[in-house]
Amino acid sequence: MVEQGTEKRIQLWKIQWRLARLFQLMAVSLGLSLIITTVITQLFSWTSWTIVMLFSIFLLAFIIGSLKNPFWKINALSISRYLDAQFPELEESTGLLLKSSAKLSVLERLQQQKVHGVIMKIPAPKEPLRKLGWSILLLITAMVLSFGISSLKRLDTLQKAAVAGQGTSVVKEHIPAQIASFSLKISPPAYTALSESRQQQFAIRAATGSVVSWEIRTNEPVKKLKLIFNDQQVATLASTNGQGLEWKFLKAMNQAGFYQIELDGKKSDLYQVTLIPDLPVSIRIRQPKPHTTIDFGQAQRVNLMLDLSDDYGIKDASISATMASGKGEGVSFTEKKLLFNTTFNNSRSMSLNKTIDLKSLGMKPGDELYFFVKALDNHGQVSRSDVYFVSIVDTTELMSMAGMTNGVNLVPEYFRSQRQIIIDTEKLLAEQPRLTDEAFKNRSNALGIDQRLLRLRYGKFLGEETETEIGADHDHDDGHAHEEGHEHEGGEEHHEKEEAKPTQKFGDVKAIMDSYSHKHDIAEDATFFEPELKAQLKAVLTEMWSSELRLRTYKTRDALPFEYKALRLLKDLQQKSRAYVAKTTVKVAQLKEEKRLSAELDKITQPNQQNTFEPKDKKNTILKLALSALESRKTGMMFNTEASALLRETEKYMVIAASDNPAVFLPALKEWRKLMTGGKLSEIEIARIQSAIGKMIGPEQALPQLPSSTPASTLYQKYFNQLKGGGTNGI
Amino acid sequence: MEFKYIAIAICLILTIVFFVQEWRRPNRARLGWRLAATGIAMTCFALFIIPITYKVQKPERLNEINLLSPGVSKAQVDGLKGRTVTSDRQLYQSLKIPGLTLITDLPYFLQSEPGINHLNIYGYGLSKDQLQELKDYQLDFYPAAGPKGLISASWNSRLKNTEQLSLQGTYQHVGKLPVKLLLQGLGTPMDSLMIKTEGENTFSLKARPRQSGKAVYHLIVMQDKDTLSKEPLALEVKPAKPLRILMLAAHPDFEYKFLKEWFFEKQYPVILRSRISKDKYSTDFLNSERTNVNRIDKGLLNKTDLLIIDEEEMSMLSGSELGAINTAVDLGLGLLVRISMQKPGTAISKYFNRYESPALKNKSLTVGFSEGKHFFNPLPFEQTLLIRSGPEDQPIVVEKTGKVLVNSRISGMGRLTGSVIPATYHWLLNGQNTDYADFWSEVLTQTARKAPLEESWYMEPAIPAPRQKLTVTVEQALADKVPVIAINGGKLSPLQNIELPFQWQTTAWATDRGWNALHLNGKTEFFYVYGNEDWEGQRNTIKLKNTSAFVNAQKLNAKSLETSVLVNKQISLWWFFIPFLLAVTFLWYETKML
Repeated sequence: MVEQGTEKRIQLWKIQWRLARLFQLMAVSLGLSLIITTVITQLFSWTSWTIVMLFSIFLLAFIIGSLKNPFWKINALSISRYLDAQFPELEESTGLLLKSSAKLSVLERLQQQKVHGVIMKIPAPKEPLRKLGWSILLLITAMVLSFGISSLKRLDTLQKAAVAGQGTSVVKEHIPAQIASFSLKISPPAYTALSESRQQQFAIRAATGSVVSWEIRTNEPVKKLKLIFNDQQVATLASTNGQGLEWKFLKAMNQAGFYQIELDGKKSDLYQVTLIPDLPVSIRIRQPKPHTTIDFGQAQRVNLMLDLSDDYGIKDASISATMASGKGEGVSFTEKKLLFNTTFNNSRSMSLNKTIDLKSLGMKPGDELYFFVKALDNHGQVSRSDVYFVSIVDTTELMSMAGMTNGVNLVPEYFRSQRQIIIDTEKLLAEQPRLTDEAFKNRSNALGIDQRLLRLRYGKFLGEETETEIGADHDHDDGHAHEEGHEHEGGEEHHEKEEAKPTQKFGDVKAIMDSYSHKHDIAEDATFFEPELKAQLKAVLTEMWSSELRLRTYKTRDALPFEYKALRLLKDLQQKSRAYVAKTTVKVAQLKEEKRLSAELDKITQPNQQNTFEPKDKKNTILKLALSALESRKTGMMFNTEASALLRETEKYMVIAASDNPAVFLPALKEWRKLMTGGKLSEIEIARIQSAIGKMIGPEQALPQLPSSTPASTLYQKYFNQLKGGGTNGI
Repeated sequence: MEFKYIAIAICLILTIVFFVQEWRRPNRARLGWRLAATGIAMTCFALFIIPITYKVQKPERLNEINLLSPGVSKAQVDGLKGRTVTSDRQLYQSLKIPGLTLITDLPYFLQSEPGINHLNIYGYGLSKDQLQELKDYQLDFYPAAGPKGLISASWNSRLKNTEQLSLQGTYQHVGKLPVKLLLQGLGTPMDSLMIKTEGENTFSLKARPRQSGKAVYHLIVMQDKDTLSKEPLALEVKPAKPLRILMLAAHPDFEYKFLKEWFFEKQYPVILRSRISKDKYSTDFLNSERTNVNRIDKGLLNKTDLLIIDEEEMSMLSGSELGAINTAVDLGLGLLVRISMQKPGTAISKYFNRYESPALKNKSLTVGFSEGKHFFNPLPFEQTLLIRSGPEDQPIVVEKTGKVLVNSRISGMGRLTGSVIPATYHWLLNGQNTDYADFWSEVLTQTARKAPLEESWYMEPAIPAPRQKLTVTVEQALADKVPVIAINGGKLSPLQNIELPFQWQTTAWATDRGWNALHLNGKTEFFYVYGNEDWEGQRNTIKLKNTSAFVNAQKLNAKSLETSVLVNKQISLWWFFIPFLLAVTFLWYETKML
């Protein structure tokens, strides 16, 4: 009896636990699947697959969960173990209760009975329920989260809708009364990849080339329905149902402007057509600079980095490169098309990288590369960048004497020295294997000293003070040397001069001061060159510094690039002061010597030209007259026949202006139409039309005027001429 | 009267009763004092009831009235003595002061009351015509505070095509907040100006009207977004007559070439003659007929409004040609000499005293008109040759530092202008067309021949209002012919000026608001009649000035006669109250002393 009570209780627990575990698993996997599904739909917008995905994820999670924690494996034994662990008063003996007392020993039986009493008293374990509670909490959280995420998405679409709403900007339109309903379908061209849109508004704002289809339903049968574009093209619509109630029309829009609907001869308001053009690809080259020079020792390659962007998509891009080699008359050009090894998936913007290896292009020192980037958008519009220059310095050219033999020679011996240093360096490097380390170092050091001397000499041009007397001859003893020179001249004159000298210098304070003062830099000496030239000279010195450093630290090979660069810069400096004009061949007619300088002019004809300016159109004249006609209308006067003819003429120009620039001129044209059909306009509305016409006339420029004098000029004429005579006659 | 006697009787009875009482008092000390005090107290008491009055002589101007005109303030008229009248109904209703009578017409009123010989005028005063009626009266003027806002403005209302509208005036500004003056025409704002300082501010606004024909522009005064006033400006633009230009060049150069092209496009008749060799010329006839221009003579110059010539070419002309030019200038021809040499080559160019200044070396040239503060875009060359301006000269174009580059002077009827600027076409090359047009328009308009008009007219007042008298003055070339003048179809009879036989004058009345036609010798001209509410400030300012000028002139007349009247005056009651109080106090205290 006793056993049966406990058995029952444990069995009950078992069922409860199993159920709890089952629900717990289901809740957890449902929660997980909810969150994952919403996140995925959010990211990839696979809205149609939501249910399937939710179910499969749930199933997967449930199976995994139940395999890990199988609910069906919960049995009395596991419950008893749990009870043992949880309740010490059971004295690890719950297991005894599951066995029939017949199989037990006496001691076991005693214990069983004891435990039985205890087990009936202990409360039902809360653990499974608590776990279930947690998992339900998880489910609720997951539901809240997924709801939150999906509503986030909705917010986003709301924003998008708001933005789209702004783009199309709802305008209040006057729609003819006969039109019951209408809708416009705008299908942008395929290359734009824009989606079709539908609108309940006549004003059109679309990409150029969009196909617009009108569906108009009238509330009474209409015989004729026309669409008039820019007051020029007239499209007569055919009724779709034959009763004159439903109308349909399709047109590809390629010209901006305006249009209106004509229902049985009754014209509607004007509706604006704004077209958004497709712009060509914009190319922005970030690297290299427009002019790049590759010096000796630098890697002969150019790293090209650029950004492309287009409003609808880029189809293709390539580099068009032209190599120029040779010089003088023997220049040859080779063209090449370089491709970017990427695919252009009609993406709107992309950054490209390309390393142009000049050697593989077959470029030698002295050659130049001109290149530009060409890009094609998906509408077939081509755009190209500026031309960029890359040149490789030719070292042999630098070494040549061509620049020395002609033209202005600033300081030739110094240039020769730099060249000499390069030659010596190269010679030293060639001989290096045969030399002892000591000798090599010595010679390298000697070259370094030469380089230093050279640098100091150039430093003098910049007015730099020397650290020693080596570079510059700082002649303080100039005066003495001079005097000595005089003494050596000898002869009788010399004596006279000697005597004359003190008298010359007597009283010359400056001369006396000179002999006592230590004169250093004179400000003018320091400004031999223009600032630009000085900057370049400084750059030369920097290169020489670097070269000297390498030479004297026995990194002779490293010094070479710097030496070359110094030489190149020097050469540039030298050529600064020269301009080269190429010789051209001219063929001159043979002079007739007998006719030259005879001073006879009788055969010379006098050229006469006559021309009269024919103004192309009278647009401005008409518009100006229209302005004052409108002005009189402001006071309430009606137009007379003359003014009406003038205004009809003006309308032509207004229509042209409105179709060219509907945003500015269309509102004025609408009001104009209202005025011409006899509508009453306020002064402000007329002023608006006038303002638009004023814009069409454009800014007014001054013209010389014929001044006018008062009538009865004879009196004044006498007076003025008396004024002139007054001065001389003394009146 | 009866009350007076009753009071006296009661007082007497009371006095006797008090006397008897004092007399019969047992203690007879200070009897005399007491009786006196009682007497004084009772006398004073009686005088409280019946105050003493006396008559004084006072002068009064009987035959004088106060006349109130618009603009008068309540504070100014409060406490005015004498008769006060006004002929302004609005003023009568708004002021609401007692004793103010409304009269229908001032001259009628004065006729009906011949005794009046003195008027005190308050407010903005009267119009000129009304003042004329008051010639025989003695006047005093108490002007109102000056009008605020736009108190004067004037503009060139009859313009030629592309001529600039120039509006100038005075604004009386009160308050700290700045106001904005905006010139608006044909629905477009054209020029604006901010006025910040308090008090009288002069302003100048400029615009180039776009219409050809009549239009009404507006001058709008704004404070923030509030419109304080909006005054109309009527103006008419007529087509301009082109200049006939002759250019003589010693050798072809770009300056002539660009100038020629510019004139050509503007449809001006231009003849350009440039010298190729001795007596050999290349000639362009643009928008004009082919004529012989190898010799410059009187006939050719008479058909020319403006002659542009360089100094080298001038020195190569023969003496007779130079003579012809000289005479033509005296008769009105405009002559523009392009100066490039250090020393003058001919007698004509001697008028331009030139010098070299190293100050402008290595600098680009920035020029502007001598009157304006605006400078054009710089010209890319250095200019060292300059003109020294004399007392008879008018500098037109100056360099940034004020050195003169283009100088002008009158010579007889004509004008002589010298320019040292060698090249202005750089403006055209740089796309600064406006600078080029402005420069040459100003220089050439200043120089060109003045075409005499057949007839000219002007109207007084410049801003007429309905029911105002208009004085039309006409000048015409033919002195002995009576001009035919009609306004809105009604023919007028003009009066010839005795001293100037070519001047004729007539009067008319402005009837209709808006544009009115004035027919003059078969031609139709237009003038605009403004509303009464337009330009009120200006109209009031004019009234104020006219009235005070008229009154000051009248001040020489004799003073008005004065008669005297007797006026009752009352002696203050305090004089009786104090003795009464002292007497009563003595009587009371006397009983306490014992």
